[in-house]
Amino acid sequence: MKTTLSILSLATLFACGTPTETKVETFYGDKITSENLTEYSDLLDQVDLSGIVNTKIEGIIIETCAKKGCWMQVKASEDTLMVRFKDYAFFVPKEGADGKSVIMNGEAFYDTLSVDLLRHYAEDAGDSEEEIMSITEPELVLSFTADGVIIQE
Amino acid sequence: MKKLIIIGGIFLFAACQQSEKQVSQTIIDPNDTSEMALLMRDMFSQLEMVKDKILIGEDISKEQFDFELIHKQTPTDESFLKEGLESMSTAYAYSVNSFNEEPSSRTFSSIVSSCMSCHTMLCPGPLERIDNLVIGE
Repeated sequence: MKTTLSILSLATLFACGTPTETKVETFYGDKITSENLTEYSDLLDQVDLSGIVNTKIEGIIIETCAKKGCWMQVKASEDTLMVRFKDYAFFVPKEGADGKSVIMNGEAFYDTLSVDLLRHYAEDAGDSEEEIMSITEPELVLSFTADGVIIQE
Repeated sequence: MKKLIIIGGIFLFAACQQSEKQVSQTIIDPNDTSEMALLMRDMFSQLEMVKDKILIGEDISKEQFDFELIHKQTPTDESFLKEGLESMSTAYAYSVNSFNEEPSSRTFSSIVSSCMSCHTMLCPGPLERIDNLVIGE
């Protein structure tokens, strides 16, 4: 009996002896889940069909706005998405997020970014004056207005 | 003996269940916020409150705004101190004074137009947010 209790106590100690780990899940903007993600290829089909699609997708952060964290560029499949945050109501880290996996919920649609806006984003990204002024054409991009974002550590 | 092992197993399971705790946090802005950005957020929330009053037909004749001058605030970095900021900021202060002299939907909309003009020219990011202050027809 004593032996059995000792074995059980030791087993508990070894199995659960490590300090309690706290896993912190961080959300930017609305709290969203990481389930029911749309495949990027399906999203493209849906945007082609409807013009604007409410969806949840995954990608890799290429860069975030270096000044305020008010936008990010995300690689999804072979494309680069320009991601802004709904109503300018939240921000992501302006440093340290590049290369991380991201899940975002929101609206995807094609958008033409004006030269002024492209230059503004280039300025935000810390590009040189020469690089900024080399932007002379508007650009058609797949835009994403996110209401919630999870950046995976 | 069997009972003891089963009870022990349950304790073991329960103890291990507690070894990982999951908490969640929601972040609005993980970065340092400048004096200028804080002022703008404060202005937005005050303007939003008055807009809501206008929309429900509440009396706004006693509403007053007391905002610091935008161009006197420390921005996120020097690149925000663009040409035109001071004149736009002065025009904004002028529209705020007009509202304070005669609080109305018209003078309120004039403030919002000032916000729009300045951000269109100097920093277009928040335009989408400012758009929420526009009083529809």
